[in-house]
Amino acid sequence: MSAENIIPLAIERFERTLISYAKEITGDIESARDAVQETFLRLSKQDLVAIEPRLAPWLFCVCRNCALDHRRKVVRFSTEALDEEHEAEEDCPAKALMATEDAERLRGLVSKLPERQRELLKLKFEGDLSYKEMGEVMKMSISNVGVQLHEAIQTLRRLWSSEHKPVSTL
Amino acid sequence: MSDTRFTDYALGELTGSAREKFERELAKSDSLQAELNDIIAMASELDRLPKSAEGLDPKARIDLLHACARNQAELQRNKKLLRWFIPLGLAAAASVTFLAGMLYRPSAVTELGFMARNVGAPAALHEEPQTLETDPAANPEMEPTGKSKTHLDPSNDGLAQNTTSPLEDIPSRSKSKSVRCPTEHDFAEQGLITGESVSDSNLAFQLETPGQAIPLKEKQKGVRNATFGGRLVDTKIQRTSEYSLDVDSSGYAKIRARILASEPPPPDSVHIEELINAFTYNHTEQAGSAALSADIESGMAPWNEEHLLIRVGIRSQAVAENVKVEAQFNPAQAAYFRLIGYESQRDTEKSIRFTTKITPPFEHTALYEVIPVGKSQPKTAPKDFQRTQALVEYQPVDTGDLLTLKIHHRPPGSNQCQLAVFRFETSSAKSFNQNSVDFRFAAAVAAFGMKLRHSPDSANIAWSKIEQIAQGSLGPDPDGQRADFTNLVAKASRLEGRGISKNLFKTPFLAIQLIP
Repeated sequence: MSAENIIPLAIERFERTLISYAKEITGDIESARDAVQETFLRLSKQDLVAIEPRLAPWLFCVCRNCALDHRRKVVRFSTEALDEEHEAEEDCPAKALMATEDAERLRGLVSKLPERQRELLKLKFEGDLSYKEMGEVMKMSISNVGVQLHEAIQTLRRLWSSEHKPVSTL
Repeated sequence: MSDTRFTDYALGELTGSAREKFERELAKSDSLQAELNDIIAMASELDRLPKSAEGLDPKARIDLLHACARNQAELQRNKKLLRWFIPLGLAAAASVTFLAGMLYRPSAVTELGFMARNVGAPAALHEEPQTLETDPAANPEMEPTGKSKTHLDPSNDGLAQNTTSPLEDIPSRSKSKSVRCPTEHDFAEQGLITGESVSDSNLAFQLETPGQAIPLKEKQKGVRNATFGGRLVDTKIQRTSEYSLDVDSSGYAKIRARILASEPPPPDSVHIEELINAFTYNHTEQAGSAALSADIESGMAPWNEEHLLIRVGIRSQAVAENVKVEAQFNPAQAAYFRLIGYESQRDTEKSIRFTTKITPPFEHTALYEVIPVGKSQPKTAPKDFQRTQALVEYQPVDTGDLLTLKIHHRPPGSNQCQLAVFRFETSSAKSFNQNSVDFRFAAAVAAFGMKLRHSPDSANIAWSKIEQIAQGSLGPDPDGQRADFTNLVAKASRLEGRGISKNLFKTPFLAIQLIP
């Protein structure tokens, strides 16, 4: 990747993932978008060639800081407001009805997790980061990243099996 | 259970001896495997949660791009200025100090300022593919477009003829020649580039002990067998894949019967290579005298547009013995590859054997999925070969080839093995819609099998899409076999839709494969 292409390609690749991650922190989409714009502006003031090898963790780390700044400045949204928004934004492509229901249910369960674990899930499953990179972003040790992710997944499994009622076959 | 290794393993973060130890524990306990399966199932579910589509406002994005470009331009200007001013400033300061009676060394200072960045390319270690292949430049008739066809003519004693027609749409360069029979050395040599010498042994030895065909070095190092189907293989570590032409095509009939009886087949009972080979593909090959011919085609994988799918069709018109097929990927083009199907241990053992004899009319189709270099790396892919880090990394020579296919065989009554080599260039890959009917149909069958096996990758392709691809690639379909398949997809889609929601965490989404 040549230096002049890095930013357009980074925006193309990370824009949505970063917004989704920032929204996890700010709670609202507009602040999340602002945080992401700020992130890319900061990127544009850096030596891109030096940053490129670890671009993803750099972006998530800066984005996290920007999002936290926004959250300090603006009114904090409640968990209820978050859930509503999740439902409102629902615009699934034509997928099997059951699969959509399951995804919705799972998303609901994820929203019940502690914030740190929600962030880690985003970084792993949307940001595609390794434990080491997640540790850098979240300022956590690698082993703690593992512990928190494991706990998140175990909690989700527990919640799922306690809530999950098999759908009767037609 | 509070053992975080389950999650570490499922997410590909458990490595080295810790991973080996964990796998040994897993192999001994069904309950641990069940626990792991559950965690992988949850991880797969999280992975396929619909990703947020919320982006920036289009106008805001354009403004952002402009602002970033301005910042970068300013940064570059400042850098340039600094380059001039630092040495000048230093020189001025030095002059002052000189005047004050100190030492003055301008040359060293200037050197600092104009130090050029070393951008020299690293020297590439050239790997000799095999002596029998000629320089691509010396094969002008092998244009990198279209399809490759090479025939080995058993009537031609010694050198087999390359009957590639220059008028055809040829994607690959191919060359065939009579060679000595492959030895264990060949298998050890291919794929793992180390200078280790391996004992020579003959073909008969290989045939008598099929389990021994695993490259010797791998066995010694305890490396997982890379011919494992269904797994992603990192080409930096292992780039050769072998597979057997012996496929039980009755597997499809069994799966079909179950689906028609409204019973979703158990995921592990689905062998994708058997499904693919249950169908007849009209390889365009027509040559009457060809003992063996191959036909390679590549296009976008319908379940992941960043990945390539490669179809390797092999066909025989005369008898061929001791047939062995090896696909060798170019690490400069392919970052990872996956042989589709051949997942189970049984298949793994089978896949490394020679096919002792094939009787025409014979045809076989294999599919590979490839993650080209530069595309997103797999998220939850097990880092299988990390333990082989000690192996020398080498710099591949980028010939533009994606794949080199080697078919060893012996014409009946001959003592001499022949080797046909087919090369396929990445640039010959097409977008899925431009691929042949056979390619698209085989891709649909593979996707169908992946769905039935609950492979995580299949989450990216809807049942309706598979049905649509199959419907659009029926071709002449003289016996209605493909149309029947299309109906089967629709039926399976209804069954699986019910089954998944009912048994979400009762059935593992990913078949866990362990070292025995």
